[in-house]
Amino acid sequence: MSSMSLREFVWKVAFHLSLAGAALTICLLIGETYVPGSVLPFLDIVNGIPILIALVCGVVITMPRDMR
Amino acid sequence: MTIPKPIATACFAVPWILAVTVVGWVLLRRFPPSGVFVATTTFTPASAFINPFLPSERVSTPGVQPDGWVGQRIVGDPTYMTARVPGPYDTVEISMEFRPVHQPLLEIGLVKDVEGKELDLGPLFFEGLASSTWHAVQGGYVLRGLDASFLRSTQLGELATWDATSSLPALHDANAAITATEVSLRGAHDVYLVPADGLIDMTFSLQDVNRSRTNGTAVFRVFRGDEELSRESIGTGGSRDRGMGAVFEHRVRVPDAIPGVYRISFQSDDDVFIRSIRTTSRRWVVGPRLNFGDLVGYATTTQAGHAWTNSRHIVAETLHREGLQRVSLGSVSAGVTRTHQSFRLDRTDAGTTPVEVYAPLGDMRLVGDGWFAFRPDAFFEPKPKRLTDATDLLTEHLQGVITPYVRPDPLEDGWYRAQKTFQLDPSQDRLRFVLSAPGVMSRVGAVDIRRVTLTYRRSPLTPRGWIRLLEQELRNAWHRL
Repeated sequence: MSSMSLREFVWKVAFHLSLAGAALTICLLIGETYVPGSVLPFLDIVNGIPILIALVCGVVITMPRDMR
Repeated sequence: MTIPKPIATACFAVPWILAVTVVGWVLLRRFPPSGVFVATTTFTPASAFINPFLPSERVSTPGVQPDGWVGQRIVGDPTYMTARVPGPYDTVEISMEFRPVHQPLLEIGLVKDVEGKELDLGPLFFEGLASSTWHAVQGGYVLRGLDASFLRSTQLGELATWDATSSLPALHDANAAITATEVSLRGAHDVYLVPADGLIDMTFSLQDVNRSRTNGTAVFRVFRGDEELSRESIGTGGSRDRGMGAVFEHRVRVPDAIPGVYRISFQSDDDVFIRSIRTTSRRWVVGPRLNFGDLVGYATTTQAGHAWTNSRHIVAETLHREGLQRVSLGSVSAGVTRTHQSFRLDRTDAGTTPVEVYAPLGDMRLVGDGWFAFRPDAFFEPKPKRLTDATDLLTEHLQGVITPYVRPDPLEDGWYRAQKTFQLDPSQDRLRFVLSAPGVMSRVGAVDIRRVTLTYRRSPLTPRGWIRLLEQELRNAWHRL
């Protein structure tokens, strides 16, 4: 059975976590843009969106090329 | 240390599963399958769906109030509260926990159109009906010992209405000679009259005093009860800076008038004066608005505003410095000392017969809870008087109130909980509720609000209902673009 190193595993988990978070955020933003009040009142994540986007960018930029 | 790839792949899927779960949770909250969405607030912390009451000069800051309770205090009138609609729903029920402080009457309404001109205002609380002396029957409230049939009584002086209509009595009089009444009334008025010998016949002498137009218009509408019998638009003239327009006459005639109460609704702006009224009706009254005008440009004398009324509560206002005077209503009087400001006259006597209302200089707009006649023998009550914040049910000998009002549930320490349901337009994104507390400032009163709950309802979701809902959401989204 093939395997991967712990370091590679941690980076890829972080990558998928950030990518999924970014995709979720984009979906919610699109929903809120076209149907105002449909998303944000339930999540109250307005303040968290910039942080989430920064986190995604940070992980993607710093991830070693062979891990992406 | 190494991680087997199957385990690693499973771990990589977890964030995506979480993301899909969050989207699904948001969709379920946005489109509840039960068709019921509830939003509640105590105004602290702020709610995403219910905003505090405004304007700020009439309300306190939401939060902990000086006497320790949490909510918002209302000290002015009217105030409004906006709410975000969480999707297309059929109805909204507003439930409010409130405590009136020296405020006997409250009404709540919903603005129904985008322009804010159509308001559906209804009863919320009346202190006078809180007592066990009054019991609820179909159609309203009556004193203990009476039943619902009393609300259909022809003794209109013993009834009041609140946001309700009542059946009008079938009145008629014998033939009478034409009587002429010199008046100086400006603008729109409603005249209620009884047919004499099967005939409604009333002639108005009108004058348009606007010197900057020649094509003013007015409308006469004739009703029997709620049934509109006729509508006629007329040109009122006016002049181009050549003095007042000429006085002209307009006759309203309804032959073969069956017994009942008729209403002639004269609709115009305040630049059109009624200078005299001739009629064959023995009994006719004006109300609830009576606007005494002046005689400037018409005569060299001053005509006092003089009438007889069963009103117990009148609000008087003048728009001109020449109209500043002392106005009397029976044995009470009030000095109207500022223009564009309302002054209240409230009778405290227990009399049941009409009293005189007198404005020696004319030029005074009066709004009462009853009716006005220009001769005491012409007075009659076309319908029960309006319930107002100043109405004292027992002193005024009222034994029944026709109203859809439902008494709120009493809670502890003077708090109440009341509910009211409104129909919704599925395309509305925002709601604007209006809370009316008439006279709260003059009474130095307040209304404390500690909780507001909005319950939106529609049919439970079926697959077909889901599709219709999505279509409505897409239509709303398209209109917003």
